[in-house]
Amino acid sequence: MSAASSKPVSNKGKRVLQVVTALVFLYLFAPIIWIVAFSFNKPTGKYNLQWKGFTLDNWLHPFADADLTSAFVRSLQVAAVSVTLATVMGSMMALALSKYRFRGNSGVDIFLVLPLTTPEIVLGASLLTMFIDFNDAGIPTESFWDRGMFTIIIAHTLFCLSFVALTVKARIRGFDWRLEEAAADLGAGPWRTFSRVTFPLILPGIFAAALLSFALSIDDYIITSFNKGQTNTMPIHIWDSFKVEFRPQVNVLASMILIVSAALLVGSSIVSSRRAK
Amino acid sequence: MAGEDRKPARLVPWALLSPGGLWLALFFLVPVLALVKIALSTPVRFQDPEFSWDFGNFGTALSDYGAQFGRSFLYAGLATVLAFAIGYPLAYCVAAYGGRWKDLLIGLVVIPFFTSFLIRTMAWTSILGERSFVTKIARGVLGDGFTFTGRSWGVVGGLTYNFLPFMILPIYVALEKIDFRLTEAAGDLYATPVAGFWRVIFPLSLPGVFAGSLLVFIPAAGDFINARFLGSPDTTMIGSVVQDQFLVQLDYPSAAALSLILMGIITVAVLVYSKLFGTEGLAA
Amino acid sequence: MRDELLFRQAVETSRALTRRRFLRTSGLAAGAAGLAPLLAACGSDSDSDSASGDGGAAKQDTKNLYFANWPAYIDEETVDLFEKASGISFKYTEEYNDNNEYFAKIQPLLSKGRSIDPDMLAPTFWMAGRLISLGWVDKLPLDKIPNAKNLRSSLQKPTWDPTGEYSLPWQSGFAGIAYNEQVTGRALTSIDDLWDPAFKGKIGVLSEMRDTLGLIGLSEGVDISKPTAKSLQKAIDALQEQVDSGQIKQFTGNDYMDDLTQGNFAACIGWSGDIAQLSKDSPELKFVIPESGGTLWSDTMVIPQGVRRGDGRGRVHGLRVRPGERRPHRGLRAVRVAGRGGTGRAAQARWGFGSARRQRAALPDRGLVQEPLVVRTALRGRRGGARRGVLEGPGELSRATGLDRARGDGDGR
Repeated sequence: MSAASSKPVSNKGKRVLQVVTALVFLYLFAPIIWIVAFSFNKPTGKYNLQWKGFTLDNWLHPFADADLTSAFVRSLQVAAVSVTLATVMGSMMALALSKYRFRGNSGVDIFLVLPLTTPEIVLGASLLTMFIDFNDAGIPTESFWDRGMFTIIIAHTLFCLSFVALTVKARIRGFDWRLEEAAADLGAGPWRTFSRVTFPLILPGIFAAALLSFALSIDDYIITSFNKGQTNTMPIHIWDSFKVEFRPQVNVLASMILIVSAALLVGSSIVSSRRAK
Repeated sequence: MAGEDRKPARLVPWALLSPGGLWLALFFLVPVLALVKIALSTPVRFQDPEFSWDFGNFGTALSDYGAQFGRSFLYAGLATVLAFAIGYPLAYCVAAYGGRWKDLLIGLVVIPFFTSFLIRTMAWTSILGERSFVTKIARGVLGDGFTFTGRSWGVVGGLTYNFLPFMILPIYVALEKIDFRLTEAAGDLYATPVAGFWRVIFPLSLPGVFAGSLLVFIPAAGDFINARFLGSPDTTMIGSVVQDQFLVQLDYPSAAALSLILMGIITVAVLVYSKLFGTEGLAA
Repeated sequence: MRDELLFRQAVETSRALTRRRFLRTSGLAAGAAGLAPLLAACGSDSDSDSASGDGGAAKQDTKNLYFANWPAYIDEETVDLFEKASGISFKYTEEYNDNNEYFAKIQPLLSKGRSIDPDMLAPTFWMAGRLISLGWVDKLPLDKIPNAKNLRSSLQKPTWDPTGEYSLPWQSGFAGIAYNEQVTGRALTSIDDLWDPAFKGKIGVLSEMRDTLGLIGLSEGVDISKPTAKSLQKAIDALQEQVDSGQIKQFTGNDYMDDLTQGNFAACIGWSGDIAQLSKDSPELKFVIPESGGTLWSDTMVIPQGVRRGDGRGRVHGLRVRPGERRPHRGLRAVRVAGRGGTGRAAQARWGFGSARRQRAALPDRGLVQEPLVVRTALRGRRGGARRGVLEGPGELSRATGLDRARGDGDGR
C-alpha cells in the first residue's frame, strides 16, 4: 500500500536522477568533445585554442610535428616497459597476499597502499632527491642515476606497481582456491596447476589492471616532470611547448589514444563478461 | 584455504613478494629517507645541499607557506565534497537503473580519462576562456566581471573534474553490491523513499564514499596543474610551491621540507579519517 | 659609463627597428652565422656518453647545431635558410622561457662539470654573468668570429663578461607595459594603469623579477639603481597587494605572449621585442615604457661547457658563489623618462622608442638588482623574527624576498 503511494514519487526521483546523470556525463565529456572537435580545427596562429575553420589536414598529417611525435613514441615506450614490469611484479604480490597467509601480511598491505596515499608531487620529489643523492655519492657510479628514460621508467613502474597489486588483489579476492587443490588431486604439478587453472582465471583482472596503469603512465605529468632530465614524454612536451605553441596535432594524437583505449576497454569488458558466463 | 604447511611453501609468498617489495623499498622508502636527509640540509648556492641537521627548513616552510597549505586543503576538501555531490547521483543512477547498460555506462565515466590530464585542463581553459560562449552566457547571468578562470572556483572546478572518476568508481563498486529491493523493503518501513535511502542504502555505500574521498582528496591536495592553468597567483597551492622550489629555485631543502609536511598532514588526516569511518573500502 | 653607452646603443639601434632588422644592421646575424661551424666543432669534444639521457650522441659531429633561444626572436624560415646556406643541420628551439627556470634545467649537469644538449644559449646578461662566473660556459672561438670586432667598444667587454671572451650580445630591448587595446579599450601609460579595477584578474607580470619589481619599484619612486631592503620592500608590498586582490592573473615567462594575444590578459609587463613581432599579426597589441621608467634587458649568446674535467664531478669549491662574491657586475640598468608626459601617443605606437631621445638613463655603476640575489642578500640579515616579505607566485618572488635561503657569509657555515 505504501509502496503504491511512493511509486510516483520515486518515479519522479528517478527522472531527476537521470537528468542529473546526463548532465554529469556532459560535464565529463565536454573537454573530450572539445579535444576531438579541435583536432579538425584550422588555427591561424600557433595556438589551437579558437575555432577558425574545418580541415582534415591534421588527421592526414598526424605526425607533422616531429618533436611531438617522438615524445608520443617515447611515452608509449615508457608505458609499455613500466606497465610490463609493474604488472608482473604487482600480480605476483597480489597473488602472494591473497593466496597465502603469513606473518607480516597486513604490514605488506599497508606498504602497498602508502605510495598511493602519498601525493604525486612527493613521490616525484623524493625520487629526484634520491637520484641526485646517489649520483653525488657515486652509487654505483656518478652518472648511473642520470635523469632520462631510465629514471622515468623507474618512477612509472613504482606508481603502477602499487596500483596493479591492489587492483589485482581486489579482483582475485573471491577466487576459489579449492580449484587448485582439485587440480593437485588430479595429479597436476604446482606449475601446471598455476598455468592451466589459476592463471587463466585471474588473467582478466590482471589485464584490466594493466590497462588502467597504462592510462596512468601515459598521462603522468607531475612525477615525470621531476625525473625526466632532458627527455620528453608527451605530457611533458605538451606542457613545455604550450609556452610557444599548441598544435592541432596534439588533439589528433590525444584523440587517437582515446579511441584505442576506448576500444581496448570495450573489448576487455566484452571478453570478461563472456568469461563470466 | 591453501594451508600447506610444507617448509618450502612458506617461502613461496615471500618469493612472490620480493621483486615488487624490493622495488618499493628501493624506490619508495629510500627516496623518502633521502627526502628527509635533504630536508635537514643547508642549501649551497648553485650546488648540492650539505647535510647539517638543519631543522629550520621545516619551521620556515610552515611559516612562509602556511597560507598555501591551508588553501590546498581547503580546495581539496571542497573538490572532494563537490565530487561526492556530483558523483554519487551518477553512481547511484547507474547502479540502480543501469540494467544491462551498467558496464558500458561506468566505462563511459572512465573513457575521458584516457586522454591526457594536461590536454583536458587546457580544453577547459579554452571552453571557459575569455572569448568562449560559455563565459558569455555566464556573464549574462552573473554580471560582466565574471570569469571562470583565475579564481578559486576555477581551480576547485578543475580539481573536481580531474579527480571525479576516483570518486565515482568506488561508490559504484559499493552500490553495485547492494540489492536494490532493499529500497522497497525500506519503503514499507519508512514514510518516504528519501528517508529509506538515507537509512538503508547510504550507510551501505559508505565504504565506497570513504575510499572515493581519499582518492580525490589526496591527489587534489598535491596538485598544481589546475592551479597553474585555471587559477592565479592568489590561488597558488602547495604543489606549485614544491614544484617551483624544486625545479626552478633549486632550493631542495625547503622543497623537501614542504613535501614532508604535506605528506605528514595527509597521513594524519587519512589515519583520523579511517578511525572515524573504518578502512574497509580503501583496497576495494 | 660603459653602461650608458650600452644603453645608448640599444636605444639607437632598436629605435623603430624590429628585432630582425636590428639583428641585420648590427651585424650580429652574420656573427651568429659565423659562430655556427665552430660551435659545432668546439661544443662537441664531449665524450658523447650522453649526459642527457638521449640524443647526446649527436654532439660528436660538426654537422649539427642546437640553439636554445627565447621565443619570437627569429623567423622560422631563417632556420631553413641557414641550413641551406651552411649545410649544417640546425636545431632551433624556443624553449628558453624564463632565466631561472632554464637555469634550473641545466644546473644539475653543468654543476657536475658535464655538458648539456644545446650548443648555444641566449641567457639574459645577468644570467650570462652568473654562468660565466660559475665557469659553466666555454670561451667563444673569437678568432673565428671576425664580426665580433664590429661591435661597439661598449659591448666588447661588458660588465657581465669582463674579458669579453665568453659572450656576445644577441639582442636588447626594454621591459615595459604590453597591452591588448581591444581589451583595454584605451591606451595605458603607467604602472598604475595596470592596477585599474577594470582589469581585475586580467593582468600578467613577468616572473623575471628584475623587470617586474624593477618597473613597479620605479613607479613607487624607488631608486632601483640603489635598492635597499627597505626601499625595495615598497615594490614588493605593492606587488603583493595586487596579488592578494586578485588583480594579477599569472606570473609568466615569455609565455605571456599567448595570453595577451588571446585577450586573457588585458595588459602585462612584457618585453619590447616580443610585441614588435606580435603586433605584425595583431596590431591591437601595444608596447609602452611606463611614465615612471622601464628597464633595459640584453640577451647574450654563450656556449655552455663541454665536458670539462676527467673527474666528472667538476666541483671546485672556488666556484661556489656566495652572494656578494665574485660578482663582477652589478647594476640593473634603468631607463627613466625624464619628465612626465614623456611618452606621447604617437611615441607609444612605436613602443616608446620615439621618445627615447628624451629619456635619459639612470645608470648607476653599482648597486642595482642585476641579479635579484642582491636584493635577497640585503634582506637576509633580518632572518628570524623580522618581517620576511612572502610573495606568492613563482620563481624570483620568493628569491627576491629572501625565501631562497642560500647562505651568504656569516650564515654560520
